[in-house]
Amino acid sequence: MTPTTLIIGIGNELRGDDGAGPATARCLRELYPQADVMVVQQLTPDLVESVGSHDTVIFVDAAAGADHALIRQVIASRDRTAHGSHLMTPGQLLSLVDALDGRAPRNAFETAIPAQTFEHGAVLSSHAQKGIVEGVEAVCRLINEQQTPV
Amino acid sequence: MDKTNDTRTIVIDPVTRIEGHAKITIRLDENGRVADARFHVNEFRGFEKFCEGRLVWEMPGLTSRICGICPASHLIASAKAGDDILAIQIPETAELLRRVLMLGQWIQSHALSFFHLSAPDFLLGFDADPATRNLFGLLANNKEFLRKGIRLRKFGQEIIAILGGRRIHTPWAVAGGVRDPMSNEEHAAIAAWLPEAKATVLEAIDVMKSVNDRYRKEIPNFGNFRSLYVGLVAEDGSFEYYGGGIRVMDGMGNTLADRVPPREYARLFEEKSEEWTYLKVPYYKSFGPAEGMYRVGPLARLNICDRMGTPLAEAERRTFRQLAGEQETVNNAFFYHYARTIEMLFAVEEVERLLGHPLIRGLHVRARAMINSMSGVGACEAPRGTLFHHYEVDENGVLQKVNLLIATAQNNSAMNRTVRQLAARYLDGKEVTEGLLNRIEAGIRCYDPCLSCSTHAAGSMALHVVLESADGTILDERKR
Repeated sequence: MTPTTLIIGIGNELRGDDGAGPATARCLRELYPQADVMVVQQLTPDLVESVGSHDTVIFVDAAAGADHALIRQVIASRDRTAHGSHLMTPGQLLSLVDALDGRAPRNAFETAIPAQTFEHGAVLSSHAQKGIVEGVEAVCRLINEQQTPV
Repeated sequence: MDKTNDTRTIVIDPVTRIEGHAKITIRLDENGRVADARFHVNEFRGFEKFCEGRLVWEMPGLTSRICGICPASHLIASAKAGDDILAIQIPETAELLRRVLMLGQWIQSHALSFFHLSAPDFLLGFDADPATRNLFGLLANNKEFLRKGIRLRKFGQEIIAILGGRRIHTPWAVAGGVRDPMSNEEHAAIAAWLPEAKATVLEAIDVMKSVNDRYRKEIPNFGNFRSLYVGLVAEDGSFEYYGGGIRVMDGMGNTLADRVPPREYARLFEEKSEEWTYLKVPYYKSFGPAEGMYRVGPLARLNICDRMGTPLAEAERRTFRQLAGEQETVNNAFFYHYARTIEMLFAVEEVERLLGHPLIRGLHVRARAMINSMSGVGACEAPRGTLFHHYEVDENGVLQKVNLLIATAQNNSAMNRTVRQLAARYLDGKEVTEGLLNRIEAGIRCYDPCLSCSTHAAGSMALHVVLESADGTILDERKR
């Protein structure tokens, strides 16, 4: 079976820089048409099958106050106190995938895109726009360095 | 528990595992007995106001943004209000497709309520540690059941995504019909889910029945009182969720109003405001604010209809009605959960029926017209109860006035009374104990309130309970 990659852009595109995650994910869709790309407003339990069926998952989300895009590896969280209906962290989602199926993705990464303002509107700040470029470049480097198949 | 001082009030804040954020105040009388309970909603967004000045054609897309859980219900009610203003008969295929979308909404919302929000109480117990009384606790208790629940919700979301192009906030329905017909591939994709969905719902009903049995001693304390019931019924009195007229029934099974056209809703109901909450308090106008308390949603719908339109759900409805005896309605709020599972069964059966309709894949899905009426009302049954959108426009279709009558608001009085009943039973002294807190939360969750809808407000749900003495001093306060 061919290894697969899932890119999940997280955020509300009508709340300013919160749309940075989805915007980054859409750019990556253009660069890596073989990858599966999803855009969601938040992580919810019904994503377990999609996450669990890929070898690599890359979450992309806006990060208030960050100066530069940053990628870090994410592992299944031990925090199991979440209500779990509306909002989960990537770690909690991985934990749920692992517990349900025992087949969490081999690699999971969280990409933080710098964000400044979350006011109503579909306009990204220049800070976020710069961060999206950095984020796309960072994910490209990750894919090349990790030889992550897409 | 936060002891603020040696005063006399209980606060529960926040209420967890409901859609929004709420605070509850329990007031004691001079003898230390529960005198009153108030379910405060502290959020406000003002959709009714800022939609003024927009075009009626924009309203389905705008109002579907009210809520992330039941956007399709607002979409359909809004599109129907638009149909009314255009004075238009939409194509039959469009109505069939709107119905399928609504059922997808029901399935995903009811599955969320049952499997994600309420099952931790049922299967782990009301007194289980709150830190583990959640999805992960359920995972440890019954992994396969949870997996099926997650997939059932996904099925509902898939229906919405397939028809509407995305899982939430789709603008697919419009005044005059819908934007796109259903392709053969989309039809097949939805149909492929049906056997699994039906099996899961039947299992959920079995679980619910065992829960009813397991908690039979506690259930009488969960909002067990006579009230009025309101919902839509079809022309023949059967269960309805998209069209039909309004039926009002009392807590003894007497019909007070029947098949009233939704555009006459304001003749039946009055909305009053309270200083202590942004959530309106609607009531049945003929009976006044005190006696006119009514309930909407699954419990009401199963009480007021003469029959369901599908065989398995109808068989289950008959079992449900046995809970009430011969003449009366089922008046216990705990049975909202059971009614919800029966409605999930209906929804799956009804989707199957609609997919078999010869016109479901028709290509004519939208009719067009200009403004032909200066006002319009759209009504449908949202997962939590009857939803009304009422618009008044000028000759160009610009909104002059907007009124939204939402299910959770209509259950407001009953939720207050449910909390009062639970507090009276479980309040022990002058402290908010874990047991009381857990049961108040569970009592509210019977109604599956959606505060984003009801105040058209944003926010995450949390519980804050305050216990007050007769003179208003705070006895105890607790947040979760």
